[in-house]
Amino acid sequence: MPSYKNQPFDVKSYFKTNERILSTFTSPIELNKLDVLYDWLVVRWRLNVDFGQNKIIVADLFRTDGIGVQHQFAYSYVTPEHDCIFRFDTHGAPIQYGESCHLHIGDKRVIEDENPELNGYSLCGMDFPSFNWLVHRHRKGRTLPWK
Amino acid sequence: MKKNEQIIKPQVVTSQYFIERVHEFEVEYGTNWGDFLAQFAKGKLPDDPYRAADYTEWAFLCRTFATELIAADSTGPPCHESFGDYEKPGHSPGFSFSFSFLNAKL
Repeated sequence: MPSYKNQPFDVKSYFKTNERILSTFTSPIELNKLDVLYDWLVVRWRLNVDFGQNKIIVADLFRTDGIGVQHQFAYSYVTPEHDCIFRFDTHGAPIQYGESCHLHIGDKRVIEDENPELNGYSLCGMDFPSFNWLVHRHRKGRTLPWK
Repeated sequence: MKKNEQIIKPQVVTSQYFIERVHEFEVEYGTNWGDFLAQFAKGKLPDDPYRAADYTEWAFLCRTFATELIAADSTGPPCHESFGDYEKPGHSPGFSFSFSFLNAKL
């Protein structure tokens, strides 16, 4: 499991980890843009990677008031036809970092945290390393936590 | 990708950069930010993954920079969230934290 899940948010560690993950990719990165407001009051990261068969499309957004961190994201893993394989998102609104998000499986199913179908996998603290870990499992033909 | 080349290249920007980004979305999707946010709040993210990513970012930026957007457009909707206070005098838009860690060899 990714080591950063359920850890306090550290922007340096987060993007250092993401940098390390991206360095392992041999597939073309179509988009990779990180914009930072001042001393990281707001962070916007967009990433698209084409694995040839499937793609990941990421919008990763953070903001802080110096005390708490809010996180809004959409991590999509899609077919070449852009059909959803799975997507983690916050339904278009920021959540406190570490809170639970939603999991979309295909275009129809939406699963909330603690759903028995997750087999104990938590939707809390979802981030790019956690998403990538699941994408990697899928690409290797391994089972995913959910049915 | 060259060996040791930095992959994630952070760009330190001002709030104006994000506000301009909101206006880019307005042009791209043919609606103003207020109407978008009002409609978006009622619905759900679109199935198209690129559009879902755009809408996620757009909504985030609208909420985060609502004060600045409203100031620029008096017809904008009220919003309870803003990060505009961070632009008060004394908070200099410097490079006190330059993300230099990303330049370090991993």
